[in-house]
Amino acid sequence: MPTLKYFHIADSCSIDRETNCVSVFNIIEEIYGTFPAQLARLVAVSDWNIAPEDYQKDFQVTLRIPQPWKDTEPKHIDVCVNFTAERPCQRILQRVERLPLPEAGDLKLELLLNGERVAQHTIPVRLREPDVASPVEDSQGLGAA
Amino acid sequence: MSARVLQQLTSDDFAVSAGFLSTPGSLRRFFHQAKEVAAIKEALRQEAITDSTLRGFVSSVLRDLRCGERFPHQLAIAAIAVVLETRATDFADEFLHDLSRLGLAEMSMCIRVARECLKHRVNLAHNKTKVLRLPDDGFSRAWSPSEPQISFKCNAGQTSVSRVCEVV
Repeated sequence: MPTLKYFHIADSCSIDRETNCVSVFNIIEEIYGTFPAQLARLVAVSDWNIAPEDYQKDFQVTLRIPQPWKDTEPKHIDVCVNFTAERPCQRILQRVERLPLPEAGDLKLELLLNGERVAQHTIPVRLREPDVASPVEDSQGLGAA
Repeated sequence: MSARVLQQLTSDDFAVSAGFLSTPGSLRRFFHQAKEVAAIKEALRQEAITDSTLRGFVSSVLRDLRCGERFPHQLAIAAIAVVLETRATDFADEFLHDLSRLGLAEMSMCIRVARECLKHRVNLAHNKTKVLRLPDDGFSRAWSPSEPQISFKCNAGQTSVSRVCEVV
């Protein structure tokens, strides 16, 4: 089975067409805000090591985003990518736009390989306290809304 | 510039410079150091030419392919294969795989060079992307980290800087 090399959740990423190098921008560690809100975009970047014995086999990598507030099943969103193993390394990029964030809590993003969980990235989603301004906001005079 | 870097692959000078090489491996190594191939890579990097330009060039030279005759632009096609060996685009994949699967005696050398390139390309990580666009619910406020509400939070006593994303 492929083994996970790394898994990140970030704002965006880029792959250089000349060098095939991947750059990940703004890894999302925490989210502060007022609710309800929608996250404009996020990208899950995972890189997999493929053993030669797995070549020509089909695999599925799923990014599972929980939606516990939903009234109906399933209470999650799955972003599935299927691939046939052909090379020693396989990168999977799963982009999600306008992810709803109706309330504060932990956003637990799971990465599954063929339906089995192999990694999790937890992002605390917290209510922004208007009276606490960050150093950058202070320096830029942005202040809390 | 775009036409010139590709047209030089069909010149007599280019054919003479590489014509003495008789194995696909040596031809591939030679092309990796050839100034003509370097010029095409640079033009691609600067986006003076694109994958579409390469596709058009390949289509134009393939018009000279005749059944039973040695294809006169084999070196040009082989050089394109070397250019695309390290390029991480769908066209590069398509070109190298399609060319290496051919069984034409008329262009056997460039086919074998493409197979050599594929052998080395196997070390290049393969990328696959999927985009899920969820509907705009119309009442939530959209947040984008590229907007100025991003702030950094420094943890005292630590050298690391954590990124704090804000919803507006």
